[in-house]
Amino acid sequence: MDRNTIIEAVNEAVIDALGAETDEVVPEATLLDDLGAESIDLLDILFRLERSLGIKIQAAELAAYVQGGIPDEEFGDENEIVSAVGLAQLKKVMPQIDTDALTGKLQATQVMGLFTVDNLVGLVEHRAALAAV
Amino acid sequence: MTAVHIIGTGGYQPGDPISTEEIARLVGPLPDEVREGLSIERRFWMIDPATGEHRENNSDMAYKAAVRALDSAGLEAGDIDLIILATGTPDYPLPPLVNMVQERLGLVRCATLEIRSGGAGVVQGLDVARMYLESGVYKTALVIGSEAISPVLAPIFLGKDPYKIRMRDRMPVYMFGDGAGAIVLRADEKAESGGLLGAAMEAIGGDRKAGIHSVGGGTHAPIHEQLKAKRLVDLKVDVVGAGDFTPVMVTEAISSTLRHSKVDVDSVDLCLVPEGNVGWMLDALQELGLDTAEWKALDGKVFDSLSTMGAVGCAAVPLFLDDAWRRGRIKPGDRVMLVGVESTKWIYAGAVVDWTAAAPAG
Repeated sequence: MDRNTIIEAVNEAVIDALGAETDEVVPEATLLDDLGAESIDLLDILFRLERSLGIKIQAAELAAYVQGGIPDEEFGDENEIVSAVGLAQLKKVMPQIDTDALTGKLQATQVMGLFTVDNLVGLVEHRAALAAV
Repeated sequence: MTAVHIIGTGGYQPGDPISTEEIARLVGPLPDEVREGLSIERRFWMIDPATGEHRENNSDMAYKAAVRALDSAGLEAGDIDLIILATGTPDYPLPPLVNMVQERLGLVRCATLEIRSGGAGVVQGLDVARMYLESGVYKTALVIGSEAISPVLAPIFLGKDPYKIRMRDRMPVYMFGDGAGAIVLRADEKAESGGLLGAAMEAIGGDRKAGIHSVGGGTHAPIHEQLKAKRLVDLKVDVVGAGDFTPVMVTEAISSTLRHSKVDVDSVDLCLVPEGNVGWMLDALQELGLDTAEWKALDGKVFDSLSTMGAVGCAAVPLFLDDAWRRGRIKPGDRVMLVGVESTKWIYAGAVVDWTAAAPAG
């Protein structure tokens, strides 16, 4: 599946699920903070992608993908601040983040707020590649 | 001591049942697990789904349920001296719906009261009626719950491409329906026992945002501003918030009702909870550790008619009660707990009744 097909499907899913305007849905827009998505809207986006691309992603897999299989106790410290190990993982799936600026400051609950439209394209690409194997 | 007995019930839902497949055609599909979690297979609407035209209205449904309840109690409308009605979707802001039902019943004079507490309203109404009847002020009361939600759902899908409808807007269309239920209560000065034993109510959302918000047509904003909105009335349902807190409300309602009614949970034969057997509710009870000893003691005794009648707000308690009574699920001698919960601003009410009325023949 080529990247353009995925970008097009992600854009359409985000626009329809959020009732967003076309010009708001840019690659760098964060789904939660910029576009105002709530958990039910994320479910809506994933359901639309399942129907348009045939790739089923569960809502729970979204967080698991971002955390990259790192156990909670390694991903964050006792105050739920994301650790250096955690930030290195986040940089892989959300390359736009400034890890230096976030060191010692990013709470685990804020992580999904950084997830952008482009990061979602990355997740779908990752899943499409797995499905193709 | 005067006992207050339930001597009849009635229910009414408009038109033919609307299947979940038909809803999917109107608003698009839901993921299987979400649809199954809602646990609703059919619902009834007073609107024509194809056109949005009203085939009847809330007062018609309330009147029809009242007539059926009076028939089952063997009473005439003229025997009623108090009517209490709960609704969140009246025909008009004023006059009150209860007075339109009074008029339809041909009652020139009677005491009336309207309650706006959503799903908790009818149970609150039963307790208010019990107090008036026990004190001898009135002898025979009619408590009605009725709801007309489909008119607010129609603008979500009429003339729209179903696939462009957002999931948060789709879900209420799958869930909600219309209907009415009514309960006849009578004071019996000679009865030693039976009837309504006690009740509890509380609103526990003073620090919590509304789970459901019906916005529009009120006085919160200038009418000229409201007229600019996409939909005159917008039903905002916080599905996730409601899913998290409704189980808390239900378990608290059960425990508080037992305490106020001074009965032991093991003595309860049946417990009506409108969402009591829904997949998401049972999952949440377990996840939140709310499957208390009391909830476990009620295992197999919790009943509702949600899957076949839909989510019907104020009508749920009396309508599901009527359904169970007429099907023979509730029999004289049963101790029945009625629980009503409301997810707008988190109101619960519960009552316990020792059932005495034999179901009508046929």
